[in-house]
Amino acid sequence: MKTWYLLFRKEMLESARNYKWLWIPLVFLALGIMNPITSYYMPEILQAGGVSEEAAKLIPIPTAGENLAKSLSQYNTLGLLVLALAFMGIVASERQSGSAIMVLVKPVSHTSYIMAKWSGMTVLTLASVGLGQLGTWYYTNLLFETTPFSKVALSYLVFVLWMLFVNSLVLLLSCLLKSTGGVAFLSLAIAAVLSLAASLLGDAMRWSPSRLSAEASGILMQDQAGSGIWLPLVVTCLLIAVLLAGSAAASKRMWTRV
Amino acid sequence: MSLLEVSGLTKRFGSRAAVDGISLRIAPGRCTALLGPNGAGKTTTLKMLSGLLAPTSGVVRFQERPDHGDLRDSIGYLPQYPAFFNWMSGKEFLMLTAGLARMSTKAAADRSGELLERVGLAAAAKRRIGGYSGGMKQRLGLAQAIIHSPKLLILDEPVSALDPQGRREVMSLLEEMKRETTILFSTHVLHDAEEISDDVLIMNQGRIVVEGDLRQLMRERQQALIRIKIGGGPMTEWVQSLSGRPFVRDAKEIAPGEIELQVTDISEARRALLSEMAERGMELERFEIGQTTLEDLFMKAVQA
Repeated sequence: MKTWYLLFRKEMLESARNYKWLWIPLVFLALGIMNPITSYYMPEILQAGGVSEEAAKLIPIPTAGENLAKSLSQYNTLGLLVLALAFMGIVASERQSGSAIMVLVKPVSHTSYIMAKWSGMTVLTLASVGLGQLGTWYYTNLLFETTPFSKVALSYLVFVLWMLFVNSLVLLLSCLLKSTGGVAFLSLAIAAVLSLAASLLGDAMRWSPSRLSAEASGILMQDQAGSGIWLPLVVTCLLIAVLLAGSAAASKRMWTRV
Repeated sequence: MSLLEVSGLTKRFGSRAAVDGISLRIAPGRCTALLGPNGAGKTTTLKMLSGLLAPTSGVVRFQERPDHGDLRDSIGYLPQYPAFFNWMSGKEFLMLTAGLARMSTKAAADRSGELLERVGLAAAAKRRIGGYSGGMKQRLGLAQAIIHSPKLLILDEPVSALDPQGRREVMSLLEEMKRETTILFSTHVLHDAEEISDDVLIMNQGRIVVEGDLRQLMRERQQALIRIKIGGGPMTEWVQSLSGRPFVRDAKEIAPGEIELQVTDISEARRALLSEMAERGMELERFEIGQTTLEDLFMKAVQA
C-alpha cells in the first residue's frame, strides 16, 4: 500500500513536471468549449463563408443535450488519440531507458508498480474529461438551455469508464510492446474496431465497452439511462480488472524471463 | 559461513547458455571482483543474484533467508548503465528509493541527507538529475544502492564508463563501503580489481574458470618473468633455443627484438642469459625482472 502510494506520487509529480497536467486538461477543455460555441455561431460562420442567410437558417440548431453529447464524441476521437499518445510510453519508455530497474530492484511488487501507473492515468483522465465537460456544460447553459448537473455528471461517469478501459488497454500494450508508436496504434485500432462493431452488429455487441459512449449520449438526450446500460458497465469493469492483472503479469514476465 | 551461496545457476537465452551452471559462495565482509571478457555472462549473473532476472535453473540462497523469498530487501544493486528519472532532483530520487525499501519518511530523509553528503552531492541535491555529469550519476547510483544498508552490494561495472577523476572518486567510495558491507562488483579493468578486492572470480563463456583469494591466487600462480629488449631485429632462432633450457617455462617473442620469458629460477636465469648474450655480442637495450600480474593470470584463464 505504501509502495503504491509512493509510486503514485511519483507518477503525479512526473506528469506535473513534464506538463502533462497542463496540456491534457487544456486539450479537453478546448474540445469541450469549442463545440457549443461553434454550434451557436454556426449561422454567422456560414454566412461569413459566403452562404446566403436563408440557407444558413436551414441548419438546425442543436438542443442542449445534443451539444453535450457531441462533446463526448469529440473526446471519443481526438481525446482518445491524445490520451493514447500521452500514455503510450508509460511502461515501455521506462523499460527502454532502464529507469524502471531502479524501482524494481527495491522490494516492489509488480502489482503496486502497475496499479500506481494506472491510478496516475486514471486521475489525469478523470480530471481532463471532467474539465472539458464542465466547460461544455457552462457554455451550453449560457448559449442554449440549462441542463441539470446530475444528468451531466451521470453521463460523464458512464463515458469516462470507457476511456479508462482504453487506458488499461494502453497500459497492457505498453507492458508488452517495445515500440511506443505500436502501443498507441494498436490500442486506438482496438478501440476503433470495438466502436465500429458496436454500431454495425448492434445487439450482438451490446456488452461491448464501446457501448458506454452511446449510453452516455443517451442519458444526455433522453431523460434517463437506458435499461441496456448495466451489461456494458459490468463487462467493462471486469475487463479493466483483467487488463490490469494481465499488465502486472506481463510486467513481471518481461523483467524476469527475457 | 557464507553470506550468499549459489549452486548450478544457469540462464539460457534460446539455445545459448549465457550463464552455464555456476556455483559460488560469497563470504560476509569480503569484497569480490567478478572478472571476465565481454559476453562472459557477468551482467546476467549479477542480475540473477539481485533478483531482477529469473534463472533457468539453479538456486540462489541468502544466509538470512533460507526460504529464498524476495532477496531484494537485503541487496543493493547498481546496474551497468544506471538510468534515473531525469526530472527528479537527487534528493527526491533518494527519498523515493528509501521509501520503496520500506523506510519511514523520517528515516528516509535522514539517510538521504547523510548519503548525499557522503557521495559529495550535497550541493547538487536539489538540482535535477538530468543536469548531472556521468560521475555524479554514478555516485547517486551508489547512494541509492546502499540506502537501505544492504547486506550485499552488487555493482555492475561501477567505474568502467567514468573518466579518471570520476573513477578515482567512485573507487575511494568503494574503499569506504568495503568496511561496512559485503561487495560483489564486476569489472573488466583488472587494475581496479587488484586495487580493492579480496577475492576474485574469473568468468569465461558462462563458466567460472578461476576463483579464490586474490593474494593467495597471485602467490600460487605468480611466476617470475624476464623481459629482454635487444637491438638489431628479430631473434626468432635464439628464442626457440631458449625454450629448451631447464629454467625456462615459456619463451615468446612479443615484438621483434622483445622477448618475454617465464622462468622457474630467477638467479640462474639471469646469470645464464646475461653471459650468453655477452658471448654472442648481442646489443642488450633492456633487461627487466618482474612478476606475472593479474592480467597474465586473466589472459591465461580466459584463453584456455
